[in-house]
Amino acid sequence: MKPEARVSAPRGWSPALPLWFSLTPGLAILAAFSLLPLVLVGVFTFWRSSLAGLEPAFTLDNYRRFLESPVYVRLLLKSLRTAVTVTSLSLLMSYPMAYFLARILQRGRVIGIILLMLPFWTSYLVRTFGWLPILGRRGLLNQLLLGLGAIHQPLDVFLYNEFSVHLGLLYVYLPFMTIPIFLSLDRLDQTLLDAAADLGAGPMTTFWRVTVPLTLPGILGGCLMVFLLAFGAYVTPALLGGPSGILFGNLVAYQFGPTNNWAFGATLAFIMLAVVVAVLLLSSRWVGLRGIFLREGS
Amino acid sequence: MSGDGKVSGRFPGWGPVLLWGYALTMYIFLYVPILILGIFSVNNSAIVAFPLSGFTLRWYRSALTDPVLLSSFRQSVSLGIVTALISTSAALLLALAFRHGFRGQGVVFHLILVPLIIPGIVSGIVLLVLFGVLGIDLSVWRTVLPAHITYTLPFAFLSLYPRIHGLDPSLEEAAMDLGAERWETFRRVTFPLIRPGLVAAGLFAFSLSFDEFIRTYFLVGTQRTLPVHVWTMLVETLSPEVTALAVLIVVISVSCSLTGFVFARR
Amino acid sequence: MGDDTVLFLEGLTKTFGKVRAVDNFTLQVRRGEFLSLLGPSGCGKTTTLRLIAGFEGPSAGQIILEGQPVAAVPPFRRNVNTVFQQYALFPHLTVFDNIAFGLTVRRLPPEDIPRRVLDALHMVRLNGYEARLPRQLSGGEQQRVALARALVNDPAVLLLDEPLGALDLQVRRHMQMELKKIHREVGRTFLYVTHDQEEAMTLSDRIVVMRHGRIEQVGPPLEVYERPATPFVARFVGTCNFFEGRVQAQDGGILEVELPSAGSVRVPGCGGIRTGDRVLVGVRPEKTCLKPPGQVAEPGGNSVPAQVEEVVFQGTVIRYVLRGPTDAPLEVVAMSTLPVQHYDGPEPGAKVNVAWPLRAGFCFPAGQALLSENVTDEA
Repeated sequence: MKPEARVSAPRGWSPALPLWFSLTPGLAILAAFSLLPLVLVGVFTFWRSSLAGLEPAFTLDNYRRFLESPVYVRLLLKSLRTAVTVTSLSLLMSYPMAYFLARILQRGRVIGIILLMLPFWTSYLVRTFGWLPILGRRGLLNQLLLGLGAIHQPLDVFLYNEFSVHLGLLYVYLPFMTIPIFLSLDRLDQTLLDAAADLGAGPMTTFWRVTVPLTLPGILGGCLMVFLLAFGAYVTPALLGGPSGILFGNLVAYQFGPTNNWAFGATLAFIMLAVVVAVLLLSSRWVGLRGIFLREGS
Repeated sequence: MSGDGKVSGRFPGWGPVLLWGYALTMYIFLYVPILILGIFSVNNSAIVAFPLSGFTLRWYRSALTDPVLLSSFRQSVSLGIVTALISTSAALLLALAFRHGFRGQGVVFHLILVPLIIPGIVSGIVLLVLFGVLGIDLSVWRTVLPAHITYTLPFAFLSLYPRIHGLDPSLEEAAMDLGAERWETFRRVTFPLIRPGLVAAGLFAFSLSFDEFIRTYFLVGTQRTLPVHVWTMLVETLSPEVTALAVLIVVISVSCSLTGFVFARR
Repeated sequence: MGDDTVLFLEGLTKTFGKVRAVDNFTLQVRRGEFLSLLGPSGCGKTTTLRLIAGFEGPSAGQIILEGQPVAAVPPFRRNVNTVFQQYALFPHLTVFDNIAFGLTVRRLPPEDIPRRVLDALHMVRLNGYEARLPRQLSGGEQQRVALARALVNDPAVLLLDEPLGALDLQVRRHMQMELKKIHREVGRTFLYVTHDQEEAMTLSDRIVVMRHGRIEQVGPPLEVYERPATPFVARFVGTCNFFEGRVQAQDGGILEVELPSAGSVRVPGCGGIRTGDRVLVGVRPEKTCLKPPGQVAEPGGNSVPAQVEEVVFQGTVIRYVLRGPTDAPLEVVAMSTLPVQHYDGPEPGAKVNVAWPLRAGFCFPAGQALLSENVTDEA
């Protein structure tokens, strides 16, 4: 028997599903409800508001209004500043905590981690709301201070101002910082630290020159997440902020409530989106989204 | 070996002690607001304020018999289940595609992450505007469901991805080698191996949907989900009934996520 | 092709992009033989196995299994089974269910299955392990289950992809003997992929030495060892000393080769060599011995002057590393006949002669020499 050589079945039999089949549902959902609205909202910023919502037009009024009134720009800057402050404080608070979980805690480590993650798995609405009976006039804090005799009259300085907004944001988004740092510390190879010590580095030198640089991806990832979440906050300033504590997000939402100015609201949302994209592009020089999120998944 | 300053690369002897103290303070910080809600949910007083005035279960009783609350609870549960089913299936398929790699997978990966990166308020508004322009009336099933699916999809994908990526392709090749066709290979080998991951991703997606507020707030119209109901109650009055409700929400989402966590570690 | 051919590969080619992983590969596998594909990593041996199993489709060429072309037949309908490198045991199934997998998907009568599974377990000496899960087994035990899982289906050819690669040396040696025994017992054709020449020599009836997707040599182990077809085979299967020189004269199949600054040596000829051609003379270290300068091993034997650089005592043998006439490194291996403290052989620095009998050498045309290439870790 002398078979002729011929090309047959150039593809092997892999157990993989056809690519179109596995990509289509997810991509269709994302295209329709994530990408399309983001693109269209850019168009709507040139439209005009009507009683029923929006009507097509080509006008720069929305942008002009944003730039001409200092209130909007000032609130945008305030949101950015708040996000930066919250991110920095969150990093300062998270690193020792993550270090404790990754390198100090030996027994009961899983419980320590779960205790850290539980709040992260709980409604942020509820977690924000939990601060009201603490910070309020008749709240836990005033009660404690009165009991200790530190004050004689309940204070109003704890709630409905910038302080309570910062505290609330710090509280709700803390796990987004601690968990990525913990994961990168956890992956840190102990022999590298031993090597540093072996080469004569003291604990502090080792920490600053080996541990911190090697956990930088976790730090940057956490910072990016907390920054974006704090910048886009709505619930926390609305519940804890009072009139002086509101942020840009509340202003955006306002256009869809009492003011009912959809075109301007869409413009403000689009500006918010532009800031987010700018931050992501800037940070992509140091930290890729792939790196952040594929480390976190576990 | 902790507490021993001679162990290389660790803080000196007093370091671990300080860190223990710090960690305990942090845990207190993390749990006090939730514990306070728990305390007020059984406090026998019509206002949420100190001093405390005795134990009662009436807030739970009134919360659990409030018809609006119960209907919004049912709404949230069914929404969460449908969201979890759809987004976990879509995420599973996407993760399977990533397993073998394809051209343009970097773009697709970033596209999947978009709903996770964009602030919730922007997502909600952008969809509200879109549905408004398209003339689609706001309701849980027409407008909130797509928003929840899109929002939970990246989380489900990210929790499935490592497990599916770590699955040895030679297991499926072995099944085919032993005579199993494609579907049988999936049913008897692939699926049983990723099932714990699927359960975890599904529970995670459910709990995210169950707790979601900001997107829902813009898209729900006149209907109510549980978080929207809580919000309305909070904005109107700070009644002890809300604290009872908050405790119930915490219990539900924590038990979902904890179960998911256990499955994810299998 | 004869009746005893169970598998015939003709002109088999597989390209990945621009890389030709398997290149015009033609081979007849005889029924019942133990055939090894031997080569460095990246030589295409695993790809060849995957083409036969059906996980890859050929870019060109034919695969004839028991007289039928199967290149277009999916893996689940080919009468071959594979033992995978990392065993690929289903972690969620017990040993019993792993072995029964192939029988149940082929819809065998359910009453036959337990008996066949238990027979297979008995064959690999794992009676009583049916209820265990793969993670409760040692590496060697997992290996046996993988073997039983494949063999229970009575494949025409059993494909083994470096099955012992993950085991440590002791278990590995033991499993080699087991494999050989099982092969004898079941009388099936084994097609075995390995990069370990010793393993291939131990197990095989025939060895196929591969490089860059092509066949360098096919033959029984000793033939491949004693009469390597190319310098690559000489180096990959064992170690080899090479001398480059020019053919001065030919006499009854014996070449006289002039070496630069080392006189001349005599070597059995190889085909197609003419007087004046440049050739490579090769000789294996254990076939050489050290003599005082000027002495030869036997009348008419060869000797080349060299200087001892290092003497390494390796237990059963002493290995000498030397510098040859053109500064090329040479190796001589001698049996260690005396305790080390009574060693009286040459010390480092000594000038010696490396000598070998005429028949121990072999030669190749110098054109095919690629001696600078590192044969052990070619990508």
